[in-house]
Amino acid sequence: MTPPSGLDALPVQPAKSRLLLTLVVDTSSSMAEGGRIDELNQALQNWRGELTRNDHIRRHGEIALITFGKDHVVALDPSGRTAGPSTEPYVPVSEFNPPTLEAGGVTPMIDALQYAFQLLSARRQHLRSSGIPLVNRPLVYLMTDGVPTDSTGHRSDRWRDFAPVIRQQESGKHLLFFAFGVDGAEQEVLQGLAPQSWRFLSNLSFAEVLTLMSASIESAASETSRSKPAEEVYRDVNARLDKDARIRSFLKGNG
Amino acid sequence: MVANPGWKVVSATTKGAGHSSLHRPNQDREITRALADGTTWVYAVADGAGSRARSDHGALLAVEAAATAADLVFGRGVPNSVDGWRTAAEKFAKESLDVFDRRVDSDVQGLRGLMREPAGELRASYATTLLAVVSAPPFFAYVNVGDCFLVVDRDPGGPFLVVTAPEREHAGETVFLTSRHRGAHVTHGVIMDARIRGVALCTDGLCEGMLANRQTPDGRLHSLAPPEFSAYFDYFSAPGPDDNELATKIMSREFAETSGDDKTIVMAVRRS
Repeated sequence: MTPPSGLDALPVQPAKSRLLLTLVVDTSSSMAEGGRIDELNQALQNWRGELTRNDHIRRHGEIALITFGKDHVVALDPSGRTAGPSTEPYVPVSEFNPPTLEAGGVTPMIDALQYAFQLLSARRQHLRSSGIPLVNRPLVYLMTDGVPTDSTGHRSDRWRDFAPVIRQQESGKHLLFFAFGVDGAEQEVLQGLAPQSWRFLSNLSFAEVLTLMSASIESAASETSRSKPAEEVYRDVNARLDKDARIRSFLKGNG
Repeated sequence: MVANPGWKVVSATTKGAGHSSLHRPNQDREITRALADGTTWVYAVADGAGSRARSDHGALLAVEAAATAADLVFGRGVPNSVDGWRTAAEKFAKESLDVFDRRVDSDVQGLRGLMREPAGELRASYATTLLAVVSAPPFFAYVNVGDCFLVVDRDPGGPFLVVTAPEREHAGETVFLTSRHRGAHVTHGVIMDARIRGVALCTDGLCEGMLANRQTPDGRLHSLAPPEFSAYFDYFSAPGPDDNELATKIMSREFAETSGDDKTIVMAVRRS
């Protein structure tokens, strides 16, 4: 092969910064009802294509997939190459190929969020030690159809103690946190965990939830959001999601 | 482009993919202009804040303000000592900001009759960064507000990052010319070095594709101009390559994959 010459030979540094996406997904037994887990699996597969169409996210993005419910709390291999817990929870978005999720068990939502924050912190430290900055704040997404429980399945209010942890991370510009709930989720919990960035999506499919996530990623990861306080970013994201919802509603009405 | 004797100037600007998908215009601007003596030049780049309504116009006003300020301060002749240049650089910085303020204030006055926004918000809608250099080799005076960066190439020695943004991760809010606290963040200075053979002014959209990082013992990440940056000065010092080639390069997919931001570069290089 002839080496590049002239203009083509001028070096471009490889993309350094990373955009860390962390999905914290409910796989508790309620997800088995009405084929929800199958719908979620299908939606995740479709979403994969949507994510990788964005050059910037494909090149800079890394994704982790943490489930809570079946097998308690697990960081799965988002590339689908290995079954069960993964030793490398973040993989490039270009390699995202989610494994088939199964439903079962209780809803240890807060354990899952704590674990997600730990993994995120470890990944951030590792990237920094490799000279790689996070120019965009990491994005953490909670998707649930239930309320948090303890290990015996009883409702737990530990989320009230965890909410200040999220606020602290947000104010330090360490991450942005979004909570999406579908039928079965409790609005008080979603709102408590993500006062400015929660959505309860009655009668919406997981595919629609993931479409909302894509829109929020584009908005929250834009260069204009980098230096803004979290509340301003959430305001921009909400404006974008509301606008998208109006367009969808209009198209349905005229469909 | 006609250039000062012995030096060649090329420039290019392109809209980022992120702005295309959001249907925003290119909000970067650049200017390259010879002063009256024909040998002193002013170069400037500005990056309008993506979320602000009039920031592309703000960026234009910023680079024009720098050119006007350069004329005011250096138009009747350049100093011949480092001390003289230091004084002039400080004045250049002050005039650049003053001219920008006057132009924006004039625009805002005109808009107030038409718009409901308070004057403060109208002014903020012109938010932009600015990096400007007055070049009369071996002297270079610069002024900077915001996150553009300046690289000089020395022979021998290679490229040096002279002006850079704060650490990009966890950076506070970007400081713009319209920011109330901008005074604390204006940097200006003088370089005197007969061995400098090129300068490059870039907006932050090129940071990923052209700079490298290193971590210092305190754990902080710092940008640096990698040795291979010199290849750009080598290439564009030759007679042929022009603005179009520079534009082709920064519009390439390689660069698009490094950042979705607008990208702008002005290079002045001693002819080979």
